[in-house]
Amino acid sequence: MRRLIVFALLLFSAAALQAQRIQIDLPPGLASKAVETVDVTLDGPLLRLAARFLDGDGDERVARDMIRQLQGIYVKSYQFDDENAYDKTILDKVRAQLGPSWKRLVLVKEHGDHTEIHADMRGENVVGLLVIAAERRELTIVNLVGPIDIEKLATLEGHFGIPKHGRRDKSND
Amino acid sequence: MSLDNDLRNALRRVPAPEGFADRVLARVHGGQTILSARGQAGLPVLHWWRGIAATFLLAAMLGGWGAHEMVERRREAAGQRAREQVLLALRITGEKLAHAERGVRHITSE
Repeated sequence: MRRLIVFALLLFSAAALQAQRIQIDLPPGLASKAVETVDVTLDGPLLRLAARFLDGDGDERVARDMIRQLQGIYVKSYQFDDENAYDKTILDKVRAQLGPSWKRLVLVKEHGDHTEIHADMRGENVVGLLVIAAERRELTIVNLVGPIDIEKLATLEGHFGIPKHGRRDKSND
Repeated sequence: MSLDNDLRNALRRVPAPEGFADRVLARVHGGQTILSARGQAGLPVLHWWRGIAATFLLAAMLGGWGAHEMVERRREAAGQRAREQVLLALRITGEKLAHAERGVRHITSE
């Protein structure tokens, strides 16, 4: 009986640490309106496979280190020709899935663009990230599932062709 | 005359040792068996079932190698596709995070 209780407690604690995947359910007609669409769905086994094909240098090394502990990467991105091509209330369904462990880290509203970053916090650890970038001609939703090193995530800037705006600003100061 | 006697002695009929005929016959039969196993040109004769078994073995080996190659090629293609998707996903994520950071900097600097 004691073993059963210990097993149940272990199972419960493991489930409690399990990162939550957010279902990015968007209207099916949205993709047909877009001029460019990106749909990336990478779960654990595919990430492990990808890691074996990433080189040990440069950007690919950064990517390999980044995905090492991730359980999933899910991205949907649409670019439109026209402004306001989508109704921003479609994002409510995505936000509604965020449980109590999710904390909003950033919310930026600027010139009709809207960017928000949410993190799934378990104690000091970040085990999930949701980025919603709702711009006038672009909608992007990113969900990273699994332990995330925020410091490493910050190093994305300067890699993959992303300019180092922040650091350049600092050096100019 | 002694030459005549010597010749007569040398060519006289001598009975064969006991069992000689049986031994000769046994050798003759043995020789026929060897001949039939080696064929007319002295090469070994393959039985038909050995040929079929060898063909099946070769086909199985070639089939296994081909299947292994196909699986490896598919795995390589899937791995490359996953690699490209990871790089694309991280590029998009990085761009959006950088965009948010710029927004925060812009707002706080105002």
